Amino acid sequence: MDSYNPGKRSRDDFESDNYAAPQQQFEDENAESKRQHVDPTQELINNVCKDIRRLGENPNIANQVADVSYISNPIVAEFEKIDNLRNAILSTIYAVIIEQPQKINALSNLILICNSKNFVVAKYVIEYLHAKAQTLLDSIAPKKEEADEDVDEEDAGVFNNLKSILKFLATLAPIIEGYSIINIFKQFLKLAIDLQNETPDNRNGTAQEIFYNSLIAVPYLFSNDFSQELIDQVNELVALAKDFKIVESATNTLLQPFDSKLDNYKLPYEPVKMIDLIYNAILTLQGEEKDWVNLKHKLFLDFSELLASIIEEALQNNPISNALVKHQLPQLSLPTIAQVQEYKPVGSIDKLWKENSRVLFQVYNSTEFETVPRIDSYFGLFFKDLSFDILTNLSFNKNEASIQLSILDLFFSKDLFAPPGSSIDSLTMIHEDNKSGENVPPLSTWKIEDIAVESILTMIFQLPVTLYREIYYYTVLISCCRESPESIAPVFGRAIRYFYNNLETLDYELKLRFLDWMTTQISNFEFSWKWDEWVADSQKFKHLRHHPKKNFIKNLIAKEVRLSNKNRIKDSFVAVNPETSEMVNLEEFYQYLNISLFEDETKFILDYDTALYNQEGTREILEKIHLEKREQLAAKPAVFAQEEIFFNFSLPELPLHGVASKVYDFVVAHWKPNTDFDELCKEILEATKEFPDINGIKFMINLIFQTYAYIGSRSIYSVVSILSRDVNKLKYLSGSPIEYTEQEPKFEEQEISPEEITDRQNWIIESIFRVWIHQPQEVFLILEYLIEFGILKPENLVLKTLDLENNLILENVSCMESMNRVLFNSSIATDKGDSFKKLILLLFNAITRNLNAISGELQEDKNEIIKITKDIEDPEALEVSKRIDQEWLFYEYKGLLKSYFRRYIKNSEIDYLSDIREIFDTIENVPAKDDMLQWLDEVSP
Amino acid sequence: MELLEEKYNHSAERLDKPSQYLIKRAVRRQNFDNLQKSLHSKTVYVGNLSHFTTEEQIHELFSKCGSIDRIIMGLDRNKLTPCGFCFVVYKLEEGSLNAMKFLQKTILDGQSLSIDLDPGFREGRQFGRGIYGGQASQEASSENGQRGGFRGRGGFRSRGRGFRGGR
Repeated sequence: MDSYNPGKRSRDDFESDNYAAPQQQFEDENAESKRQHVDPTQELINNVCKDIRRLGENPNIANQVADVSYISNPIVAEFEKIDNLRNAILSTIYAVIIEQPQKINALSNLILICNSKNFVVAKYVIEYLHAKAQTLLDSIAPKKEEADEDVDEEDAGVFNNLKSILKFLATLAPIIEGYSIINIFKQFLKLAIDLQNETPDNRNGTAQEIFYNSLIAVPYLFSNDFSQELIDQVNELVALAKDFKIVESATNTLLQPFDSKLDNYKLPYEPVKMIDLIYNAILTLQGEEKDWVNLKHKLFLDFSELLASIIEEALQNNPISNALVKHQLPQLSLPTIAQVQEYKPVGSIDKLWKENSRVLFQVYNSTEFETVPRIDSYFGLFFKDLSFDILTNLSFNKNEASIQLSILDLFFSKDLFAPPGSSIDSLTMIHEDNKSGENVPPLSTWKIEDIAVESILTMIFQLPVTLYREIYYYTVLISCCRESPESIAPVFGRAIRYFYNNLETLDYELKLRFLDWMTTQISNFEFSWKWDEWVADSQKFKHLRHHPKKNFIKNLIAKEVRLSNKNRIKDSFVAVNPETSEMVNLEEFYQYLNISLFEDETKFILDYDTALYNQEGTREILEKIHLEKREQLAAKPAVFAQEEIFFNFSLPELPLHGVASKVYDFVVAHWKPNTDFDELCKEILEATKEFPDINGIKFMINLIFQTYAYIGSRSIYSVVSILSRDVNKLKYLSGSPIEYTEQEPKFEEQEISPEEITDRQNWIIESIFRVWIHQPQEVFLILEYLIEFGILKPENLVLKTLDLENNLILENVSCMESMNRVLFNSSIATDKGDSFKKLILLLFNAITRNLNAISGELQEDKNEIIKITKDIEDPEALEVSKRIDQEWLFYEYKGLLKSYFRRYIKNSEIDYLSDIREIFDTIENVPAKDDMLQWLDEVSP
Repeated sequence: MELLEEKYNHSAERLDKPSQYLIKRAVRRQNFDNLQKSLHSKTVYVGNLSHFTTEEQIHELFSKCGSIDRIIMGLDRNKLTPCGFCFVVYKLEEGSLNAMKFLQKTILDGQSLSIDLDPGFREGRQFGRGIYGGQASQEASSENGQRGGFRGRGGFRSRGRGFRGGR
């Protein structure tokens, strides 16, 4: 038998390709330092467990089986004698099953061999896993006193873990008495069927999960046994699965990664639900003859011959019994239907199933041939399932997760995949040869890199939320790329192009994740990207602000600048001229290096300050100051962000500079009592009286807040520390309720109306906009702290970012991200009471108002779908551009609303539905309204 | 020491535990207090920064792991300029563990970051402890021609052996 596939890389090849992976280095160092002190038993335990963790990583399967047989020797010899060894082995086996389920088959080889040498090992393992499964099931209905136990946030959930145990026990079918493993499968299938039947009209997510998990594990039964008896039993099992009723809501637009913008665009693909696929996938695998010939030797590695000889020999030499010992596997004691209905999953995957229909995400489906198995086939679902489990359960070691995903092909049938690192060109040639009949049988065009990357991207683009912080998945991708850059980089390139090409339909929130991922990704690889591909789009959308592609390019560059600096990013805008092979600078993108909050920074500053002073002649003075400072800055080789601040109050040319200097001295000094601050405020107001055209309060607020921001401008945390020092003083200015400490002198009671408070808070927001205009991320960080300290109400900031003149929430990535944090922090605030609901309703109302204003301006027939103009004949035509921009603005606001609906209304414990329906009913454009009312139907029980 | 015992409940090493540097130092000094503290710390030490990396850049990257309470830049004792390390203090313990798990060896400003759990910031630790005021390990690597030339910067290979500033 040809057992060695030279095309496959082992883990060691992988690690030696580049510098040793940090993990490896760490372990070696560890081993070295331990070797001096560790006693032989401990060393044996360490070595055996390390071997178990590495099972299946050898590409030569003859050697692999020989290794397993070798590893089994100390295990069978010492298993009963050394308690610590036994316990360590059992926990390691469990960990591998849960965290690295791709190794289940290799692990079962070990147990089968051990069983033939000393059946007690297998008996222990089977009993241990049975007990583990029972413990998991028992945890569904926790006794009261256990309810508060620490929850493991890394856990994928009871039923997800049970799935992996089930898979493993299924591979042990040949040594389980009377195929009683089949009974356990039946137990789970019946539980799923009964659970769903309990609520015939409503989807039960847990029932779907149990059903899916049982079926995905079924083919494992054939790993080591293909007898007719087993085939008959499994067929019976599949027949039972027919009775499961799939209940789903009529539509699921909320969870779809793409949105057709009311049929303005065609979706890149029709999204499918996992639950709709699994049963048919199993039927196809079973085949018309029900002989499972489509599975036999096609998925799992065929160890049968290699194992048979070892097992036979071992049995002959076995002093106790020469016959194969089989073990009992009793049924599990399942929780009741009511208990499962009550089950509130902590584990991430269980929760995902329970709360949402699971929609599959596809990236690599645009080539003429398959680079990943069809999504509706068992193989397609199988690899997704494994990858999700690895990613979810190995999150404590991103390097290991990336290695295991990259070598996933190693654990399965050797002809299943094209050689690792195959380029699309070489796959195209294989495909051509397959078509012409040159390759008999046809060769695989599946790429393991595509499967791995698509699975990770599925997790990044998981709706409604990712299971872990996105950064985890980004860094797994980065690790994959570092391991083998030449083979992975093009895979990423294809994904990035795919998302970019579909930005028009990509879900609003997913666009943000795409931005975030791409920035993190390329920042780890010297910001290199084929920018020349996007030049034409940037030119075409010149006068558009809200076109998704234009918006993406602009904000991607802004995020890059935030992670690095303008010069470095500027240097990355290069391309090679194919004719001369010379480097060309792509000047088209230089415009985006200005990340200013408002387009014309200078004009904004001058207009703002002129209005604030409201004196004849100040504009000219301000212009002069501004020009001088610009010249100064231009002469410097490097400019720090804080040097770019235009802070003018104390310049002698300007009115009120005297009192401005006092404010400066007050803030820069150590803490002073409230009484001093009160006096300072009075002095400012008194001074402004000399200038009747100046709005005194507005001026005072600007002067004080800009001074704080300016003095703290050396770093965010300097400003935060001085702001936090003077919270009550600033609350006094913003009109927020003050909580005094015991001996703190109190301010006089102010009589200010709610409208005045709103004005004051808006002025505070504007003053921060003004002072940090050139660095929007600073603006929003400061504003977020002002909200955290209770100086500002989140409502005022939210409304400000939604104003239709600037649409900051859509246009500026720092603002988008900030608003998401503000909303999230408000949602988790412990003392939120009704205030969060109010905030959400205010947000929904405001966006709805914007939608109506935009559709009104577009003057469309209210009953018609708002059409997006796609052909831009003349990018310079301003009027046309303006209209197209409004069309996009409408759909971007709608997308934003959808993302907030999904995040805060769907699966919420607060009852919003009737209020939201009332708000949506006010939407004037009828097709948009109908579409949005459908979201409500999707979440209504 | 419970911390040093292998529990065999995972199929791979956890990345959110203190480095060998901290462990070895604790063993050498037979003082495990700091090690114990670092296990539940909200603070991470970040090393191998470029001298030009700003607090804002660090904030941008590290806030992906959790809300940040504050960042303390490591400064050259004499020049009071950034000298290649900082402390990131998260609002929750989860943040520092995430940073350990997810950001180790991430590139920021062209530098591969080295991150370690930290028993907690104390005033004074923000200053470099090298002879010239900067970070000791970096000073050592630039003095020693061979090492300094290795990978073109005081790269991670010298980590754990040199004498690190600020701690």
